[in-house]
Amino acid sequence: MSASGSTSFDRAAEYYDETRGLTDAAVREQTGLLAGELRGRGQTLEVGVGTGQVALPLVAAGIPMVGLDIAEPMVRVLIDKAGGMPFPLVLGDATGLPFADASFGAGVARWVFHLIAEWRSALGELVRVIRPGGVALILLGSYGRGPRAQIQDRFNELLGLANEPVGIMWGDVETLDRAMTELGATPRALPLLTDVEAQPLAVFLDGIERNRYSWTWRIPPDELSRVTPEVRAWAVERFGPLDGTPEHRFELAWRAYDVPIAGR
Amino acid sequence: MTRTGSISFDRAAPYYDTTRTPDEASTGRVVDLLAERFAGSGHVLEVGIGTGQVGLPLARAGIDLIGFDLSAAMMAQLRQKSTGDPFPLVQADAIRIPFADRSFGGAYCRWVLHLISDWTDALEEMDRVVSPEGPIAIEPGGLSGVFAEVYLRFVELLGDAVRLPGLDLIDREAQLDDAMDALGRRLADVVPVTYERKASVAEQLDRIPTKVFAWTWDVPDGDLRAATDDVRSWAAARFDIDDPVADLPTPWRFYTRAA
Repeated sequence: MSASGSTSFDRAAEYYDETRGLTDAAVREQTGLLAGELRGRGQTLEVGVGTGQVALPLVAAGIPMVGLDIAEPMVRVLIDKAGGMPFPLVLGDATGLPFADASFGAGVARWVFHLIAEWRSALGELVRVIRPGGVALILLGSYGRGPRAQIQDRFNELLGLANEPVGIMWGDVETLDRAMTELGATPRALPLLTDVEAQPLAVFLDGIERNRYSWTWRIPPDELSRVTPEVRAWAVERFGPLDGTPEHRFELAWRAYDVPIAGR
Repeated sequence: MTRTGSISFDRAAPYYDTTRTPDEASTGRVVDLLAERFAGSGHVLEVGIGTGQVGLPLARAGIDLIGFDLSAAMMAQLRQKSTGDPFPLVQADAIRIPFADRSFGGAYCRWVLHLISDWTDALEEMDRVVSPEGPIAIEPGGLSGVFAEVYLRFVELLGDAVRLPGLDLIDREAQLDDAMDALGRRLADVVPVTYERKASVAEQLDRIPTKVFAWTWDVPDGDLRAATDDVRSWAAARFDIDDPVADLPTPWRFYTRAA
């Protein structure tokens, strides 16, 4: 964690794209939805751009992007994927954006604010750098209520840990709406996208055991190994063979926050 | 040396362009030179972009620019001058450039390194964020000819208070080449761009007590006025201080990494 309490994904760069992401179909839908909101607004800042899963397809769709991330290794992966810096990529902390007020026409952040202790400051910063009349598009991190969420809960239960991320609660749109409203932005629902789990639960469980998810990073590795067999057995009972992929759709509840034209 | 760190030009933002703008023709030659050298380089970084005197016309010439400066106030001036969205501007210190390794196809800075105590770290950072095949161009600024003599007289009178923390204002070129050499970058080319504006020593001395130059910022007003009077008499005894002198060529230096 940085001094300001933002979690860096330095350690996750190597395997991030392997363990996170959407199916190609969902990426297309997501890109269409976001590009529709962003087109004609000028430059869009993505906070927590990471390996570029959101931004690279947006750039390909003609949206002028600028990306910021706290983790150099993640940005390095993006640059390597693109064969050079495809759009401006800045290293920095979301709680102190190195941009002037009203520098951007829009902002995007996906799966970011649960990783930032001072997530309210980060939201304030995002709103600050967006011009009046612009929009912030946010998707909170969440496993929804499917098998993955249940497996995560089971781990926490066995370890006696609260299922609370460093930053905003998983998928807590109500709290996000309130915080953004307090910052003067107006919440707006966007069409709900869904995706299917593409990876077998065995891969997810392996990833957990190998400490590949940010919620496992606070758990000592021996503790994690201690409870994994039990969770595995429990998961087989509940969801069937782990090398299968349980039929489960999860929601991608992107929200739009309109920054008013006149300041409040 | 009285100062360490990197000097912010926040205080200079309101007057910078009125006191530091070269004539249009020489700025044009600088922009043409950089546009030619950076053509096809992808993203290019300007370190210490300030009010955008070089960056704005260079971006208009088609270079895909990204700029940063320690001073948000200076970049606010740039934004005011640009019509529509300028290129991305980031607030940062040159000794910790907020970009990943090899992000840029080239980088340049003008009149910057004398303001940074760890100026060799700034060069290292520029080298880090530029791809190995990309050029780094530097116009160090500094003082030559009679202006250097006048400044050295101020140093004699006021000592370290008028020393800037970074790259030497006078013996800058050799220092720069050596530091680049240590990073594995060779001087590939030196291109002089002569400024057409002429200034007399008397005019320059008139401006010094107004504290528009960074090297005067740490001197108490009274001391600066007294020293200026002293230097004026000293200079008048040596040269025609009313004679407009052309600024000596301030070459752009291009450094490349051996393949």
